[in-house]
Amino acid sequence: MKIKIIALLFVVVGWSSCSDFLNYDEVSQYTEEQVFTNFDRTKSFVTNIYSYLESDFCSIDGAMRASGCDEAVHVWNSSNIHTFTNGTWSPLNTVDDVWAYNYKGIRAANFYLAKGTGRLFEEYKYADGYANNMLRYNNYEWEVRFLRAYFYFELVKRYGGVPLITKMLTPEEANNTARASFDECVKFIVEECDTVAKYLPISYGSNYNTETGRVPRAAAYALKSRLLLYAASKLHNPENDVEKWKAAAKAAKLVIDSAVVFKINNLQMYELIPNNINCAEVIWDRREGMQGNFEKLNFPIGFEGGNTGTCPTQNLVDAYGMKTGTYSLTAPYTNRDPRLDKTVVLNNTKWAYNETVEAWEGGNSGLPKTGASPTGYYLKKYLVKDVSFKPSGNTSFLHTWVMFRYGEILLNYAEAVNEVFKNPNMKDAEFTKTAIEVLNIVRRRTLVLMPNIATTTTYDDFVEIVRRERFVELAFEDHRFWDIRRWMIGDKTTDIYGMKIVKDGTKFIYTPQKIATRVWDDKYYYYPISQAELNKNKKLTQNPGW
Amino acid sequence: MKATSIISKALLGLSLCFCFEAMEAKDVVGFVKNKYGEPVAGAIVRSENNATKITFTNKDGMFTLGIENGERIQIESVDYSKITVTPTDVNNIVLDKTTYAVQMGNGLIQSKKESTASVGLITSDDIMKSSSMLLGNALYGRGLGLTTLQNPGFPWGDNPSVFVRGRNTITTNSPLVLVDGIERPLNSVVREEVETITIIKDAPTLALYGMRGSNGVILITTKEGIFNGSQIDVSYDHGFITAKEMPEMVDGPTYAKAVNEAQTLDGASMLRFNDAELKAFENGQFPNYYPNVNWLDQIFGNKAYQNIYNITMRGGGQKVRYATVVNLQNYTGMIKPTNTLEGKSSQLMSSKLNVRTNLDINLSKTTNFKIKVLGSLLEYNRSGTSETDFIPLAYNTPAIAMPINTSTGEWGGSDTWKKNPVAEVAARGYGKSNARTLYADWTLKQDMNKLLKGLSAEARFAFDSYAQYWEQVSQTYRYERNTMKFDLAATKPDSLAVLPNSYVATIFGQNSIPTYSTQVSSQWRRLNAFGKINYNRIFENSKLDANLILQHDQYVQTGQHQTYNRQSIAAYLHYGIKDRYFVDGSFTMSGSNRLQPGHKFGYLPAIGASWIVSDENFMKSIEAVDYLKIRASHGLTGSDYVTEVNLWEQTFGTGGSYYFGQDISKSVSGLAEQRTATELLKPEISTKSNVAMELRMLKGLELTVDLFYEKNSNILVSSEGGISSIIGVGNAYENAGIVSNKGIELSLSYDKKVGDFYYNAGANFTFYKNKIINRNEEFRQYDYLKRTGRPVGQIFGYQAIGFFADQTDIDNSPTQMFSNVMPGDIKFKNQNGDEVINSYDQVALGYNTDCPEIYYSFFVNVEYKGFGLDAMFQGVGNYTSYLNTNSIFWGMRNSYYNISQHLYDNRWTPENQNSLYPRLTTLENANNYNTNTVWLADASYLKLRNCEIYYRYKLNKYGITGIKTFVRGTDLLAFNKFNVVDLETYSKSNSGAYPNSSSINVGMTVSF
Repeated sequence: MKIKIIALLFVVVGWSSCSDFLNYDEVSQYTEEQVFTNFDRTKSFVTNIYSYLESDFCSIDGAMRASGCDEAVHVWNSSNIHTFTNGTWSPLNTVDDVWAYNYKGIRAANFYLAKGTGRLFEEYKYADGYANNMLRYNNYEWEVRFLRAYFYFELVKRYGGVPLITKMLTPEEANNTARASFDECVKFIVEECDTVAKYLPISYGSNYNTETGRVPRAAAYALKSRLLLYAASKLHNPENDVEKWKAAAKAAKLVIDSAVVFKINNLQMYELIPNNINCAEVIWDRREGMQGNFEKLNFPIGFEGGNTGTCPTQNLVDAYGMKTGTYSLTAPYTNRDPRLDKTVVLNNTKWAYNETVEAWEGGNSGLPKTGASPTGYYLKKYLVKDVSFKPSGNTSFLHTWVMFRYGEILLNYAEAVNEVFKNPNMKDAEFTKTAIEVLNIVRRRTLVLMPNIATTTTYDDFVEIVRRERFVELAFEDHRFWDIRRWMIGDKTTDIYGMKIVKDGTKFIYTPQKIATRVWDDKYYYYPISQAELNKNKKLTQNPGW
Repeated sequence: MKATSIISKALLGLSLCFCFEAMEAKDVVGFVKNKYGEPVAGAIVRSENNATKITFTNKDGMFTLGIENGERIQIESVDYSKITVTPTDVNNIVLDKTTYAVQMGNGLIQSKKESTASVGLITSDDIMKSSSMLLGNALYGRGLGLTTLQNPGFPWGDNPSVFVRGRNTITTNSPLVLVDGIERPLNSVVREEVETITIIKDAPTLALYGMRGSNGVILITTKEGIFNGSQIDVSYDHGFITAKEMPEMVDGPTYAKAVNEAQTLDGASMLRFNDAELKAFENGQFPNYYPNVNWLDQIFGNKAYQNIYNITMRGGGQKVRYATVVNLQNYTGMIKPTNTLEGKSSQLMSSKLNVRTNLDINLSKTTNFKIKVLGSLLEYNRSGTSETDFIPLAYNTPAIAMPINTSTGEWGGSDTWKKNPVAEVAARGYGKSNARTLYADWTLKQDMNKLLKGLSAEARFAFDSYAQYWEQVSQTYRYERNTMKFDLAATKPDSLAVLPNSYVATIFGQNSIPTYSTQVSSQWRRLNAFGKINYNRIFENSKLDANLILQHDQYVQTGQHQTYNRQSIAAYLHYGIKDRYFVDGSFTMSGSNRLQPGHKFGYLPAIGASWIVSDENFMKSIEAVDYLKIRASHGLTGSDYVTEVNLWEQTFGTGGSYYFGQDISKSVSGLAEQRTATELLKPEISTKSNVAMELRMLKGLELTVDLFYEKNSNILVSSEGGISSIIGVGNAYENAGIVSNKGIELSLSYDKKVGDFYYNAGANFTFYKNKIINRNEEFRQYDYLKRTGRPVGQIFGYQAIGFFADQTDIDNSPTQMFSNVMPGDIKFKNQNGDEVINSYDQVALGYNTDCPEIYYSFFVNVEYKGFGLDAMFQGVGNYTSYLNTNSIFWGMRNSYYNISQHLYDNRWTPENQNSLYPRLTTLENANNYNTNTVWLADASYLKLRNCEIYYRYKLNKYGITGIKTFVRGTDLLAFNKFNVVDLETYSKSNSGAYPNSSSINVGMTVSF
């Protein structure tokens, strides 16, 4: 009898002690040690940091940031993009709120810099390609530091000064960190750019396994150029301190002077800039791989698969100059700056599927059809014409977003040096080219060949000319939205115009008309910080006016 | 250690104890009656310890059985389902609800009288009053403490939502569903297989379910064999199903006018339709270009059919008892369009075959062996576009969108509305699914009296498997878009002039060759091992039932991190003194692989007590009271719910990818830091207390009152609400959430038999109120914004105070920060007194949308000489619905949804400012379309769930012993607070639903 009881007890004890069963777990993840002792995994950790880079292929709720300023109108009312312009923007109702997103990138970078650097991967010492791998590995540190600086740039252009974090925070620290000033942030980013530029390679050749797409040296200088230009502009330089303009001009000049070394000096045919990883003019791009979603979102309604999204405004179209002759409403698109036709889909021209765009009233892509462009224009730049949503079509084409290109740097220089001398025709030993000379390089690019700017142009005229040139040359490359802010001309961009197009027999009657008046408030120069963030971190302060 | 080795150890342990013993017996004579004092004939009377000692009562209810002194007698009667009693007075054994043997799970069976537990009971009779194909849909209003809520969809596909005692946590609240003690889906068995369902609600019994018990348990017990001979029931049930309360959508001309009206109110400069076009919609002269199609009518018919065929065979003798159920159901739905693929159907159809065999075998005088096996085949058929895709199209596509077919015979198409609803159903191929289920369990029970008097052991092993396999034939169709233009100058009021050469027809898409694909869409398997040692003794003045219970469960589903391993060991003690005072104690140690290593086990103690007051001497004199019991319980139950696996570890996993190099067609994957580690992960614990009273009076009146309070703590909540996002990494979870829940459950019934006349009426009522005590809520500017202190799921939104009358009204009101407002938009109440209306002006509104606080039902059953009437009403209260269904309530807007006639008739217009709903708009209008009181409705209802007239006839010819025929109505009547559409159907998703239906069933059962 006793034996039986003992046997039963065994069953009981055996039952409760088999803990392996309860430790069952399908491991799919790595520990910190596993990540940073293996070259490939360390590389993957850096790859993830790159993935936080943004592009604007309709990144805001299906709309481009361009539709948040006078560059374009987003046709669908449901998109959050309208929050920028309809007066509902507030700390409780944010839009394009990338605060947390960029801090994720910054955290990943800080993590890498704290834990991932200084490794030797000794286990792999005798493996093939060790030296090459170490060359690449040692460069990661500079890439990551640049990326972190870039994420800060994304934040400061929106919010002004932000908490400057260069280590991994604990929850307590996160809730107790105040904002640094705008100037402190600028100083940090510039210093980082200067430091990493010393180490970053000019290009990623075979010793780097030809991994183009990583940060090249010129990108660090280009970021510095753009940042210092922003910092010198009215919004951040209300006293108009000329030293700031000098710094901006110098930063641009540095890129221009080294352009041949960086192999970026060759201004290409205008239409070859987007979606082209081999464009010589492009300093650095954000790569999106093969896709067709941008076309889905922007092909005109009435085209198979098209849904209309970004509709360029008459305000933009008006900014394009005449190449020859004078402007006429009966043929408003004849003899215009050739860049217009590369940027905007014009009425009654051939577009995707080699079909004609009928943007006139009653046309296949015209009002009053639901989803038809209210401006009479559709977006062309960055769209791949060959994308096809027909059943047998190919919806997958290369997309890359231009982060920096030489054309922008030239415009940065032209704008800054005009401010340094208060004269677009002046140069000196330091600034060896005049603003007009440099601007003309842009205007005279291959197959654009717009007339040169007259040397009689005054400082004030040139301010307008360079602004217009930026609007045109950099259209839909995510510049206008920020330029409006740094120039503080928001209140002058509220009237939005479109083109009313009526078909009369075989002719068209064009009538520009105002289609919207947008809300502007001077507090819009900075984004509001989300109220939820202010609630969690009592040391954070809100931007003025919000 | 592996599961199998444990089982073998257990079996070895049992086999050591096989023993045989002969005892000296003496004859006992007894009488069995029912509650009306009538003798119960044919009841089985047997020794509890020796299944071979068995006899039956005669027509006077008398039996004679030879038993050993002190041995208990069990009495089973088919008429009372399966009742086991342990009578003390053999001369007057009364079978009624207190003697009812309640299945408590874990092999515990207690008579209702002795139990200290709070349970809800549903019998086979109850659920056979329904004709539903899904077991879950037979449970409305049944089982005190069970909230069963209908979900929209198909009679064969959509399970109801079930809650035991409402909500008590902010994580998952699904009760544990067991079939014969093993976790199995509620709807895998059919009604005909079920003997009883027990709803287990309080701590001592729930604690035994370890980390699975805190949401309550629904325990389904299937039919077993019977002792006396055999019984065969053959039945057929045919249902005529009718769609009801389909919302009416506006016709084409009205929709076109509504679009122009909306644009005018939006301030648009150009209207979508000119006068000629409006007229063309009106007169239908150009159906290719200006169509008018009622899509709902084109997609849905209003009739469907169901058939249920069933054969139940039960019988057996002293050695072997058996029960076999063969059940075949099929359903043919309401989908109208015919499939363009020859011989294939677009119809929503299902058929299901369940074959169950339960065997109960006495291997020896002391050894009992049970086998239960269910095999089930389930088939679905649908069109190539799944119902979740085409049903929204049927509601959301306006009448003017496109013709079904153009005059050339092509499918009609449109720029704005993209998809042709009829073509989507008819011309996209078809889909078919086959699901196979096998459940099998084996139980071996060994009497070990020889070893120790009152000792027995039980071991059970179960293996379940399920797989669903989809095959799909897909194709695309080509369609034509037509446009034409009117010559407005030449158009006169009575004649439309068309511009010459303005007809354009463009073909899009293509008729593709059908492509075939298959996949296993889901599968799972479960292994369950269960062992129990039981010590059961009756002493002079007391009785003891002690159990040691071991359980081991493995559930493996398709996909990663879908293996659930759980173990528990529990002691359960039931002790009674003088048949009046009972105490239950349970102690459970339960572990799960979801919990943190080193802390995998939770310890769950619980106690319960009951006192049968009516058996006290001082109560004997009170004639009116037949039975009075007071009971109470308190203890802990657990839940191993986690938001994701391995929360206690900081890990590095998949991050964002990027493109490097010259070939950028392929991305390189990244590796990222994942959310930070949770410091000490603990199981969620629910502390439950219950007090109750059970009363029977006047030989028919029964009242049960249960009061309970439960508090769930250690609920997993994110710490995100309190940590600034500049930390840059996902936050850990904390076991910091606390929710309390309290409630009352009332059950009242009365039954009486006067000669041939029998009647029975009763009601159940439950009221639950829960409260979030802590959930690591983010900072809130105002107290009224706080979710803490409110019930789980409390709706927050804006209080509408009318519609803006005109621009002056807008100018004089605080700015509403959602979108531009125009006259006719909703005006909100300013809650904080500042200058603007923004998210600070949200307040708690109504109740919640997923579980009503009040749930009740009442029923009546009258029978005279075999003719009977049976009806059951069920209702809910303190329940709210969103009226945000696209097209029906949120019409038109930015995506050009359809609009319902109800919405159109009740919209704001400058002429009708006293409307229910705001103006129409073609814009998104975030001001109107958010959570606010305009779009909330009281979802209370009272429904006549079942109502039947039946006739029972007993005869003894041609081998037939009885016939029952019935006519039964399901959901024939409904009283809704909001009576525009049935909110149970249309509020659960915002994109329309398969029509709700009522049905008339006719059926017949023939017994042999």
